[in-house]
Amino acid sequence: MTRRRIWGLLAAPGMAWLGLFFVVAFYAVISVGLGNVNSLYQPVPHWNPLTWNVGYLTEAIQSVIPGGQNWPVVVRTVIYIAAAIIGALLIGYPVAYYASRHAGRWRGLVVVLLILPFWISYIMRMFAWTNLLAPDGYGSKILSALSIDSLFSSLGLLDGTDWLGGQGITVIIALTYGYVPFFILPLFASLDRIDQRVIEAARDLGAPPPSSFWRVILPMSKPGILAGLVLVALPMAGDYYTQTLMSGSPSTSMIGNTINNYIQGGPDKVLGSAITILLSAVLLVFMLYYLRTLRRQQGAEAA
Amino acid sequence: MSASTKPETGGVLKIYNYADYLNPDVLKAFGKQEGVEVKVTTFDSVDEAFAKLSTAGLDFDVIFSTPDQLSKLVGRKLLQPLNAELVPNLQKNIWEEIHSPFYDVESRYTVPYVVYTTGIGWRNDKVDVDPAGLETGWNALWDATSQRGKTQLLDDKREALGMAMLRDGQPDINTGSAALVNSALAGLEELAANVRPKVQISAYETLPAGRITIGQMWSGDLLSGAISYLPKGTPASVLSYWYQAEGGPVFNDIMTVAAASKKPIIAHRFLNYMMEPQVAYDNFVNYVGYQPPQKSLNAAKLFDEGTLPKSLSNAVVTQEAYATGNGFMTLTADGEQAWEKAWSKFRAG
Repeated sequence: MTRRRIWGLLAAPGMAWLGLFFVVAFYAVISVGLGNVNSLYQPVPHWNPLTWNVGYLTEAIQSVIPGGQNWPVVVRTVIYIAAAIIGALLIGYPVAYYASRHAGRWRGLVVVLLILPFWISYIMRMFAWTNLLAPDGYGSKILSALSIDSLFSSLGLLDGTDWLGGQGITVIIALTYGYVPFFILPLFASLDRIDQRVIEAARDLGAPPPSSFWRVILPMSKPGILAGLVLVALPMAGDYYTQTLMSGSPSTSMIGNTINNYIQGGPDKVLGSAITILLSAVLLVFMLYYLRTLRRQQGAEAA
Repeated sequence: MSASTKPETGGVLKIYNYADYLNPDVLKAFGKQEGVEVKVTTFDSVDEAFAKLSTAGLDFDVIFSTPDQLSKLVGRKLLQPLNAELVPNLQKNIWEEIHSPFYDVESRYTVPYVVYTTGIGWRNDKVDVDPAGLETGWNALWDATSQRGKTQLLDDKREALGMAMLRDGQPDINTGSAALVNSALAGLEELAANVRPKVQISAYETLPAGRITIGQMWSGDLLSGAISYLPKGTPASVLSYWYQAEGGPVFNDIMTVAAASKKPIIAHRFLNYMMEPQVAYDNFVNYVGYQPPQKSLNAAKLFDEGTLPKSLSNAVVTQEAYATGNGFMTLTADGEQAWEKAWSKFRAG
């Protein structure tokens, strides 16, 4: 047996697992979204692609374009994700940079600290926040003592002083906090791979530190930044429980909440599935962009 | 006892119900008495429960639900007709009004579980309101602008839109008219603009904790909150409740036996057991806070004795209120669509 065949065999169960729980599950979503409903408005999936019905997909598209019912949700979701990503970048990049290049003998400890959040489930970490940010919680007391709440209020980012009272800013902060470790790790790996000699060469050729950062390190860490962005943006786009826990108000609902509302109750499961298909299509575009950039970068390096 | 009504022996009795909605001690005692293991699986909403029951081959024995779901459950052949001889406690112990309720004449498929009203609950130490003093009590919630973000709207399209209808003086909360549903939606949008409510059903915990200060909730949430969820040092007297005495939502949940049940006799015996006065009392006062429609239960006495906080005496449902109250009934399929459309529009914010 060739080595290739052995690895093929070893990989088979994993591939079957992925196939079963991703491909089949996703096909089911498509069959429901492109299916129909019975007289009780329960979904009737159309498993045969030849009988697919685009009526609900059309309705879903109409609901997410300007003027549609879910248009405000789409705008809000994009703003929240963009803001959370910028937050993750501002917080995460210096941490990853420090950990990979300057942590010295603390490196091991820093890496452990970076992995630590993964020990606690995301939902538990969000629940902790709901206690901290409750009106009499330690978190909101500290923020109030530092006048951060009144600062945010005067900037128009916080309405009143209740962080959990349906505030968009709280959802953004929670998303940033929750996903920042997923952003740092790939970035850390990417920064760690940059050859020290390249940076030394930049210095030797007369680049001052800021310049060698902007013109050498930052471009070389682009794949890591992109990987981090993809890793956090995709799950954020489908996230609904962060919003549910930190706000619960319709004024902050994201597209994940909309899908959840359609699917969980009532007779609009088909519409929920159709919106899921749309969301997946949009995310796929970003994924393809990432893969293309990655390939180009690798091609450039190989050359 | 004839051979056909002999209880099955051993195994597991499977119950499908909301979370925190049955006293575990009561279940344990029943299991011991019948020699079965009682297992509860939970759902978040009756809509979710119906969806799961109608697609997957779930083999529950006892299903808890609401009357508006009944025609769907029966239509899908998910329930079996009850054998009245096996649930004698219905006639013996339960309010006469529910012996043959309008949603299930002659109680062919259901027995009642608990009764409740829907109204407004608030923390009287944090909000100074008096719905009873207003011409339209529901406006207390619309007017609570100082409590922005600390308010609750029930995560239930019938309750939420139904409240907006009642506030407009539109008493038919079972209408299928898209125009009426849309004007209720406008009412909810006004509410959202005024007080930015959280759309949840967890007031039994968040109101005692002070995370919300006023909101639409079920009467049982107040009692449940007072029994189990008050933080140390917070007296039950800070909780207040109001409901629309005439024409407001008053209803009951139901217990049924699943068509797929492999233990139909034990399942019937469970229904009957839950209607035993002492069992119903334990379940009510020591755990769920939702009141059983028991003839023998003297609610006034429970408040006088201090078993339940006196300030919440209007959170029990009187027999008269039940008889004259308004219930959420099954909508036509098109009516359901109209409600659903309005609700999802509201949820998009």
